[in-house]
Amino acid sequence: MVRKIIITGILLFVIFNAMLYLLPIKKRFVYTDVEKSERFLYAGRKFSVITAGSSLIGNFTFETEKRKNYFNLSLPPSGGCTGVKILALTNNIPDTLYLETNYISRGFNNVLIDGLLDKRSYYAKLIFPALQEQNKFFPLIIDKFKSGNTAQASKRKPKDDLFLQLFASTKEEYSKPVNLVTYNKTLSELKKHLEYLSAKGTFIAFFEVPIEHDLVNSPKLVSQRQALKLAFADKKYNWIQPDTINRYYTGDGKHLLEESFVRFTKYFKTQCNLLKQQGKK
Amino acid sequence: MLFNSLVFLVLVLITFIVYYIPGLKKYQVGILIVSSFVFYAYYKPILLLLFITSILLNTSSSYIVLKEDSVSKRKKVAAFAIALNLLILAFFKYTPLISHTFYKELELNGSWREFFFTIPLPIGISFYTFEGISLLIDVLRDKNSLKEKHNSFWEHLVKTSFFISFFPHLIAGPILKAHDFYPQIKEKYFSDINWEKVIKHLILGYFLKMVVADNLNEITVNITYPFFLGYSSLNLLLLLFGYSMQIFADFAGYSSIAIGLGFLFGYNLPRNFHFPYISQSFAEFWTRWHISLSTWLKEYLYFPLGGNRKGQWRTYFNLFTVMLLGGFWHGAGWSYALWGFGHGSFLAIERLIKDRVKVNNTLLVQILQTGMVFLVVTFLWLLFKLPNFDQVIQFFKALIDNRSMRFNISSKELNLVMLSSFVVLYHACYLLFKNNKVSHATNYNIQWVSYGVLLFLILVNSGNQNAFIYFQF
Repeated sequence: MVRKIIITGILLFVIFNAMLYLLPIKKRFVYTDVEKSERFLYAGRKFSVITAGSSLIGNFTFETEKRKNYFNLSLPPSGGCTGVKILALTNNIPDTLYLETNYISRGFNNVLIDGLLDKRSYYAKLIFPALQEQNKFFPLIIDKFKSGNTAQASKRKPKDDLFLQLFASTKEEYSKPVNLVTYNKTLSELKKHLEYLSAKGTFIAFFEVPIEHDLVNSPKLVSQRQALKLAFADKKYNWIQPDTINRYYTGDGKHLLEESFVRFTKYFKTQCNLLKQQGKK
Repeated sequence: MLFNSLVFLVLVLITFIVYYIPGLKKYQVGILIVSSFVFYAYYKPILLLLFITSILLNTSSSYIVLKEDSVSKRKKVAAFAIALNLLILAFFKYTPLISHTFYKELELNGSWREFFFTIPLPIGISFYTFEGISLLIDVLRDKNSLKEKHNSFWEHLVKTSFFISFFPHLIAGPILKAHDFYPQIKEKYFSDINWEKVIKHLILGYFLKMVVADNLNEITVNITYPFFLGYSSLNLLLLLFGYSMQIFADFAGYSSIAIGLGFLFGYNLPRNFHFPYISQSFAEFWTRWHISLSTWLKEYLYFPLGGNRKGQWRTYFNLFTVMLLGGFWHGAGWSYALWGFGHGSFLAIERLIKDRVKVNNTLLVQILQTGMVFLVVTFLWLLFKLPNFDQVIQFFKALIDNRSMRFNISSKELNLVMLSSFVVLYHACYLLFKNNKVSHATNYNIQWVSYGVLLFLILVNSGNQNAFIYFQF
């Protein structure tokens, strides 16, 4: 019996791996930072445009029918620094990198990076793709049979009960300035990785995702912004100016609701084009 | 150390190899004690101090009880040692709770009382304390006739250290009873290992923990405050159902791994779960859920209180008291006490009704009773997930207020249903096959295919590594 159990288990495992190799089975939407970074790492190709950031840009896409070389490396809850480090350490050099700065003070999720780049685990997952988080069996099956865009931003009404509760805790989170000692350490490590990418020819631009109006000038964001601007004052770093005209609504003070997200995406794309044109001039 | 970590697998492998080396047979118990200490001290070696103190306390006091002829002296020593055990448990487990109840943390800034807020909870303390008490009561009752077998203090110390520390059950049970375990302590042989039992228990345990519980944990996290406010009533019910499945899979999974490891080293640990969600009464539920705790409470608390021998009202009172204390055993929080209060009340009310009303045991009645017990048990789990009672009330409020919200079926909900269905299937299979006689060949084929599929799912659908829910108790 023991032998039969083990043989059955291994046989099914081999068949599933073969299916992943041979059939175009892939989850349409990946959510966690492990899934996202694995998808990026095992994609087997280079991307020319990359956005790196936190869950605030989780729904963001640049991809069109014409543009298939974009990757959104939004890593909730790790944030943009982790994304940049993954790019630098894996030598994935994009032409353009847009870096979201809202959660840049979160620093680097080295546990994630070490796990991802551990040689044994990397090769095991490369040979047996079934071991990858993004290929987890049930979510993959569900994704195949569940239609519709499940990665949409929240459709909740603004200012509902949940919003008030969540906004209160977000407000508290944003009421304290960042710890400058740790933050500056993070920024100097980030600079090292960005310098590397820039030296290899990557166009780098920072941007901030709009959040609830009351929080825009909160102690946390102000202190974070000031130190960031100071650390990346060099002209080779570009900045997408925040949208001061439109008003944006969130589900919890920081994550944009669907309508606002669509508006921001439009604004962001226009600004990117402008920036690129200025760069060419 | 977690059962689902690589370092644990390495420890088990090394222990297993050394344990069965023919020349080291004499030291088998010692090898397991050393491994158990490494297992316990891996993350916080300092906790070993308290653990060893507890072992020494229980060894020396039980040895005195064993060797003493005077009954009154034996009783005094045992009572003193039991009181000391409970005092240690109370100090480490309940001091922070009592401090939080009477003082506000902010008022204590810099005060000596601040110390009481920060006492760490030694992992597994509730389990090993209860095992120590079990030893003391057993030697007092002379149940396992240890007197003749344990001649020297050293021998008693070695066996008691092993009984309390044996790593498969150390942190979250099953809670062993001295009179069941001591007779098993003898030389073990590699050829005696029942590999089928080992593999089946380990596969089932790891499947329940890593595939069902760990994945459900990523979904039921939405029950936490304030996220549940944004879900429709039906979604909340589904999440709660998922949590009920998760807590079963988590704890039953742990117990199954523990039993499998026990078999690997030649020890038979008691069964801790027996399809609890098919129970038709609360009394039955407690003969199927965390069996080692409920039998411990029955044997060492309910019976000494008089059980059901002192009249109806005293029986209700005893049931209620035992469950209330059982609730407190689970955690240092008023919500756990309330959970115990809830179970105690339902047990007492059920007994009261059964004493007065006779109900025909038709299939429909059985289904209704099972459904009702499951529903109540599931709602009471909410007190485990939301230890702040205000949040429990808010959850119920959301359950009523959010009726008009649309039932959202995203991939998360489908995944929850898919994972939970294994627990449902597990119970359903038991119900289907317990009375129907399936041929030996069919049963054999169903079993190896099922366990093979479970092994495959462990490889391809394990969730993020999480600590077992019962570790906190």
